[in-house]
Amino acid sequence: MLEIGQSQIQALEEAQTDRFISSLANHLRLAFNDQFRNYSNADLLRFVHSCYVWANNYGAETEYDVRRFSEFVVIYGSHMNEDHVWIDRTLTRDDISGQEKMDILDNLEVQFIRFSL
Amino acid sequence: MIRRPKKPLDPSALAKADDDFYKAHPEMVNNGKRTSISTDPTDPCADILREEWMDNYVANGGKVEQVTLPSNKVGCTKTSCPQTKNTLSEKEANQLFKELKANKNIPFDYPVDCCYSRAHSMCRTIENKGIGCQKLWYFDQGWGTNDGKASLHPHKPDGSAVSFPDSVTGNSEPIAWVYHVAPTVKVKKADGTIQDMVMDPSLADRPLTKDEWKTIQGNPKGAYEEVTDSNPYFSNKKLGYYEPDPDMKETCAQLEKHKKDRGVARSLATKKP
Repeated sequence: MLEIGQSQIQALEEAQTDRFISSLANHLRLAFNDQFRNYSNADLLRFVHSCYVWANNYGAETEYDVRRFSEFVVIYGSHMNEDHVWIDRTLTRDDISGQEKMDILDNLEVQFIRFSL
Repeated sequence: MIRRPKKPLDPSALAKADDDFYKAHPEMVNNGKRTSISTDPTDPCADILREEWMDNYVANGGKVEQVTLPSNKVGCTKTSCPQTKNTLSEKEANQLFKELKANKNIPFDYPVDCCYSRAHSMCRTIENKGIGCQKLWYFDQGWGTNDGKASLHPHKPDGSAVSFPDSVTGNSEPIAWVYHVAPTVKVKKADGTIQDMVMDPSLADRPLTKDEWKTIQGNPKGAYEEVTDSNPYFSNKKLGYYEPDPDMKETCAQLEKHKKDRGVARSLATKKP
């Protein structure tokens, strides 16, 4: 039987992560074209990687959650947790998962826009 | 697959969606102020309202995307992907119980009725957390026949009967049921054994074993239990009843109705001399 060693699993995981970061970079460039007009591909990949690491710190670890987190960083800025109490309060909760934090932020964002209109 | 508004959100479509949504839900407007839909992501009834709002958002030009869930962990290979959790530790089960009990949209303090809706809503919440669950049903021996009786008499830890104000007289009356239902999850105990534990905040402050749960209800002679998966809104295998509520509409309507009934009965009780 074919056996996969730990080092091979690790290499596969790293390749999967690179693939994800690259596809997320493409998504952000398409969805937020204006914001990334002056970003080179390398700059954008660096930005996405830093979002990924930051998202992980808050327990957002799935592809969908990291994508949502990155979109929040694009929209509300890299100081979003300092600038917006509703973001900071949600991200720093220790009683819910990363996915729940992102779900709540999605719901709160609608309210934030609603009351700022 | 779920729908999600495409980012950045469209403020104009959002404002129009709000107008349409609240026009259809005058009960959510108090003195001109609009009540927000609960932001609790694990509340299935809030999910339904959000879907309705989303329909309005789309109808007013807002763009949405389809998202396939569950999403893989970044870097996850097929050898390391997390699966649905079918067994919890005792600590995880206690935490889950606290989270279920904290949901104010479920009237745990209305013992008169509503167990079927509470159980159905809790199951969706548990599954939304990636945890597997079942339902435990407990029937009077004559349930569904002419011999059926309200033989289940729930009691509190101090032995006194669970009671609630009567909806007509306002007098506090002991509660009796012809059947009761609650979700169960599998829990790995300290000795390594796996046990089904009942999550029923209407009867206890912690997960209960099946025997504890039945004992609290008086364990009447002839009463029988049935176990189902989490799908049926109501089920009795013995007599062949099965009623689903896949879109949760009936569940959420009943939760709202019973919260109102609870308020009416309580206000009657407080008006009594």
